[in-house]
Amino acid sequence: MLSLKEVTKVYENNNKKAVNNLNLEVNKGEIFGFLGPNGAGKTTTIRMITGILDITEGEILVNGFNIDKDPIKAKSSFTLVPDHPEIFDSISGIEYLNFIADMYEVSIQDREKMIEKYARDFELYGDLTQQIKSYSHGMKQKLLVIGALLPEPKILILDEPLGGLDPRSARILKNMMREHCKKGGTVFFSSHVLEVVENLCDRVAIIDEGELIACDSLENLKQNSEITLEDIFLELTADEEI
Amino acid sequence: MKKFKSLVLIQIKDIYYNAQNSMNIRNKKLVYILQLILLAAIIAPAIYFSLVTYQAFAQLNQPELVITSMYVNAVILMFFLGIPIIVSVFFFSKDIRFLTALPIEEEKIIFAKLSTVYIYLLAIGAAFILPSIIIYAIKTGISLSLIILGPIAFLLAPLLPLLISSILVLTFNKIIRKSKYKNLLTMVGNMLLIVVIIMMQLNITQKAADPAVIKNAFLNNESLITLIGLRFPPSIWMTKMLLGSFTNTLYFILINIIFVMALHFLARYFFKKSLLTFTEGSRSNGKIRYKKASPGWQLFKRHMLIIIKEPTFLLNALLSMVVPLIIYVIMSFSGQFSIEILNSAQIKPFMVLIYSGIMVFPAIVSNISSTVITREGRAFWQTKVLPISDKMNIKYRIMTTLVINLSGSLILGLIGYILLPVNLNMVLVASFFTISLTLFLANIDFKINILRPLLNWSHPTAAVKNNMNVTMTLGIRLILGLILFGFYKLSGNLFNNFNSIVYILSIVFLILYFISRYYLYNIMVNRFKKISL
Repeated sequence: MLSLKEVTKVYENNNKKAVNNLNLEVNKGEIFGFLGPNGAGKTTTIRMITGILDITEGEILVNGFNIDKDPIKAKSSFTLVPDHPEIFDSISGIEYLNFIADMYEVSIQDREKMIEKYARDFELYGDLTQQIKSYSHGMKQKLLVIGALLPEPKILILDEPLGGLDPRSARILKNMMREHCKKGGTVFFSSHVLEVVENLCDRVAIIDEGELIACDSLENLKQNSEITLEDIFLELTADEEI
Repeated sequence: MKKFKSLVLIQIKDIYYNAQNSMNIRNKKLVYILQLILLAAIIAPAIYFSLVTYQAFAQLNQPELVITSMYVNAVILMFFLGIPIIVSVFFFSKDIRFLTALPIEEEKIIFAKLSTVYIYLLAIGAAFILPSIIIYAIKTGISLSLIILGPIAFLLAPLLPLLISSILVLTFNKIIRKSKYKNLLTMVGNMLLIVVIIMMQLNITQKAADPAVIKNAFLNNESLITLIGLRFPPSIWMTKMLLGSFTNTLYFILINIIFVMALHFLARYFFKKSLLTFTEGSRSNGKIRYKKASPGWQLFKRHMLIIIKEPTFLLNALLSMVVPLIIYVIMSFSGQFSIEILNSAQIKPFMVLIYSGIMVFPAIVSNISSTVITREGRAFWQTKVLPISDKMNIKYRIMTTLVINLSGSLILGLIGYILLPVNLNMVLVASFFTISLTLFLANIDFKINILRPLLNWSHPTAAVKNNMNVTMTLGIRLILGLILFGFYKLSGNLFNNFNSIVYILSIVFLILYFISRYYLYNIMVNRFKKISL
């Protein structure tokens, strides 16, 4: 469903290799966790997958379509929830959702049904007619999540999605991610909350300094049932002993 | 005091670094060189003007009036430029809430914000008042009173226009703060305020231009200074203060103190009720509507709404449309211009040029295409991840510019058609010229924005005003103007009438548009793809 082949990103302004020769395969119907310390290259990778950033070397296939050569078909297959809810905030929540629905050609009936369902679940329905400017950080994050779920994408890509959410909304989102996969969708998400990754993901990849250092199912990564994902993460990404 | 100093310093630094970053030039030396060139471009004409004015007043044996005259001009400019800066710093700044949370008195926050405006205005004063004081000192000899009071006069100069403008703006916005359309009212109201100030100045100038008043002024030395100072009375005290008059020094300093105290009193009153409500998003109780629209329409609407919903962007886009109307209204009111002038036999042959100039005005003064990517700011990522082609993404950005500029041209064209002696043929020729030049410039300006996207801005002003893209578009227009003037001069009697010249130029611009369009959609599109946050 999502394939990264020898992907490298070098930033032109500082010649820094943010991602180095990254290979990843995300299968259909799985929840894939993407982990790494701050500055490891997670957001850069997500930006390359979604076409926000150019790839220096390698190729990325989304639902079989090359993001560089066939961007419209590739982009039709996924939606993104970025790490910071930076959206055009002078419009109302419902105007934003109508915008997204039109872009992904969601019918009136479907959008009505889904907006109502998701907005009520996330307790945002009553605020949809308000200007996004008046929303809190968490409300904006919820709006972005609803917008991302609305087109029922094949792949849901989320960059640190739980950051601004309250516990109830975080729980709802986790359930929705599971539900999305049950329906045949795929979820690719980055997170710092290792507990969430441990409970939710079928497979995880750990990236450090732009390089993939581990990618496997949790069972295989753990080998020994005593250790947690946090232990593995700290062991793999530590320069010195903590 | 330490807190206040830090607050002022951080505000000034913010403005300075924003202005520097907006140039989007990595080479620091080049930034300084450009700043120096810009400074020289402002100061050089002011020095020349001061010299000419000095010589004129020296012949009347009143050389000190050069200071009065330049001070009055600077004050008028400060009034004019101060209002939009005050509005932007107070009502549309995003840091008010953050500043409110700091352990510092509310009036100090207001004063810290005012000090940033003061710095802006002091820079204007430096360009106009300083040269006049220096030239006067060099030519007449440096006196002790000039050494002591000269810098004081210079430093105090922005205070009065700043304080009067602030009190007017804050009072006006206090009245409209509860309105649903407070942003629109703020802009329209403050634009009207500028018009009123200009009209008042023109009215006073007309009074001063009365032959009886002028005759009296030349007969009486005291009257000449009053005549110049009529437009801004404290300038009389300021001039006399520099000449060593103790009473006038007292008057000048006293009036500044009174205004500072008035603002201090008002600051507390305005802060919470007025300023904070302006930073709130609007809350609507409207119904949820599920409307379907084409992706193209949604993209067009998005770019239009980015302009309409952000007051700074709207003001920037609309001002270009209304400037000719404001000039016309002011000049008509002041009696400096009438339609009869345009109906005269000498002007008539040039009518197609005048009418074309009016219609094409929005395309020439508007630079919205050069900031269409920048205006989106950090929300730019969104259209990048949508399932739309890059060409489509570009197309609707340019279309926004075309619709705004051509609407402006249409309005100006209709008003011109009603007021000016133009025939249908002239309208067609001017329309053709307007469309081809608008298309060409919108494409060229957009290319500048692709090359210099500048997405990380903290204040909308940085996106559309303190942006080198805008300066570059003006440079392009200047070069274009020179080429057109050269073409006109060289063509001589080659063409029978001006209609043919405008017609040929329209075809040239249309060809240039198609070339630039090809270049944009086939070559520059790759550069557009590479734009990232």
